Amino acid sequence: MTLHEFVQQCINGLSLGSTYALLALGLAMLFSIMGLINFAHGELLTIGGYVMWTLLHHDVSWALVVPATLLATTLAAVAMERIAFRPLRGASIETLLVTSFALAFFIQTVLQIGVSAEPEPIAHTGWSDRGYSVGPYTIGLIQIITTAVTFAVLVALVVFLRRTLLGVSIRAAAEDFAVVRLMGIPAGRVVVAAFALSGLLAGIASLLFFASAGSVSPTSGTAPVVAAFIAVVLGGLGNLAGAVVGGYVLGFADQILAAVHSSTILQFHDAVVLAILIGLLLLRPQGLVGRSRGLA
Amino acid sequence: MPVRNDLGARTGPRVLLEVRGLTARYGPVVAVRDVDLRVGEGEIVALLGANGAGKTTTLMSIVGLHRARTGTIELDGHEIGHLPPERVVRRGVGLAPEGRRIFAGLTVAENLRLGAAGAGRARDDGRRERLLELFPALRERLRLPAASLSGGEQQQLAIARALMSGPRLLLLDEPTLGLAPKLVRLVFDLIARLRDEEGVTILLVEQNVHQALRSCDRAYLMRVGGIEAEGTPEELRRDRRVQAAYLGVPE
Repeated sequence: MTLHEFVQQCINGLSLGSTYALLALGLAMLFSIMGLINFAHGELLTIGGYVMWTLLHHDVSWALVVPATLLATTLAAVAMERIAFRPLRGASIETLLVTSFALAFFIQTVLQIGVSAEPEPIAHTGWSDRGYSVGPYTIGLIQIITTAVTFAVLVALVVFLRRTLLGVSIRAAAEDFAVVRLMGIPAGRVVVAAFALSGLLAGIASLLFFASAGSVSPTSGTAPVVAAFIAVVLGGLGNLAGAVVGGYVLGFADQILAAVHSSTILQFHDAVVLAILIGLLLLRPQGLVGRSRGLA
Repeated sequence: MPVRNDLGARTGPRVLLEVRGLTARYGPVVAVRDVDLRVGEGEIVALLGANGAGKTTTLMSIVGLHRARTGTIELDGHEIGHLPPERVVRRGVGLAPEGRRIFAGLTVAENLRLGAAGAGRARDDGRRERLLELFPALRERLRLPAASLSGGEQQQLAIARALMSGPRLLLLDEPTLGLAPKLVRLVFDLIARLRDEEGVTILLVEQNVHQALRSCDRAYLMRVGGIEAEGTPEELRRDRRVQAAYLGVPE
């Protein structure tokens, strides 16, 4: 692979990296606050995809699809907290983890029975294939949009976490949940807010992901959530900046490996990605960015 | 037998906190056994005793963070024992917990901001300004991460944060632990000023018995989960068990 091809594949990986980064942010936030690794987070992506499919199928305009998708994933995340995780508040990390798997399988099964196990097509937007030439490189409109949206979301998230009382409470809860309650702040509200925020981020990821993915199936969220989890570990568990860096590194790695076009490597694509992860963690066990800096 | 357990017969200040028959457990282990204690409005009361005597568990039970317990806890005549910590705080109780537990990754200003979150309607009445006059070291460091403060400054932040909600009752858990002697005096000066100038009632957990007896109006001595002695500093200084265990006087 030449340098030119390498850079081009990194540009192509921007979209995927953004999806991973947005999902990883939600995962990292919930983990740092309540020790939950929410594998059902991928199902939020899937739910967003089905909302898009339903609405676009009925020729609803994008101006409505965007808010409806964001609302659906946010509400779904809040419902997850209320139904599955609130009764387990204070449970061990293993219990929470197993619960999140159960929840993921439950949602997948409901979608398989209620809709179909087969992928449903999501109409390509007219603009998602458009591309521009910058010197020797081609950059797609979808890459520009996803990257711009992701960075705008990051800035908004940092402002929220630094400027608002709820945001500061979420950061504090990531450090010491009990003491946040000693500040007179209801624990439940902070947790619900964190779930809602993770749902909103998953909704944004959903819009960006399915605008170019072309179809949605009950298991659409599985591979991305595993990737996002790897991104969180790679960046440093519970560190938001790390989650974003991890997401992009993984997005680039995925794209570059897929472009190598050697069938032998392609066959071992996941093994190669995971081997790179293990290698990086051996070099930097604290993750690329590190664990200690906390949220934002 | 307690030195004195008939506080009720004494004409004193109005009772702000009344704990009766408090028993608290960690699984099968009883950490606090049948504790009765009272704190009058405007008093500084010390809860003394060695490590593991149940002092911290008593405070954690009062604020509602330790749930495995029985007995009644009344604030100003109203039962608060069933309330979650956030509601106890909103009723006017502040706790500066053991080990300070400031939010290290947040700035000093953000720590104070969270402290005011429990103030409810009485929020932002210039309280932060008044507290920064009491704790001038914090004013210069408002924008710095709390982790960058020295131990003494972190303790001041923990106390200031607990005061931001304007509590009637301030619970201080080992506020001088790990501080240099000069800072220990500073913290006790602050405690006295908080009562005298701000009218805050204080229940103080201390291992530093000498210093605590100099500063408090009354004290309870805890031993293996129960109250062993209670009284004014003079009464406790005369108590043989206190002398033997804490004041270095042979029995």
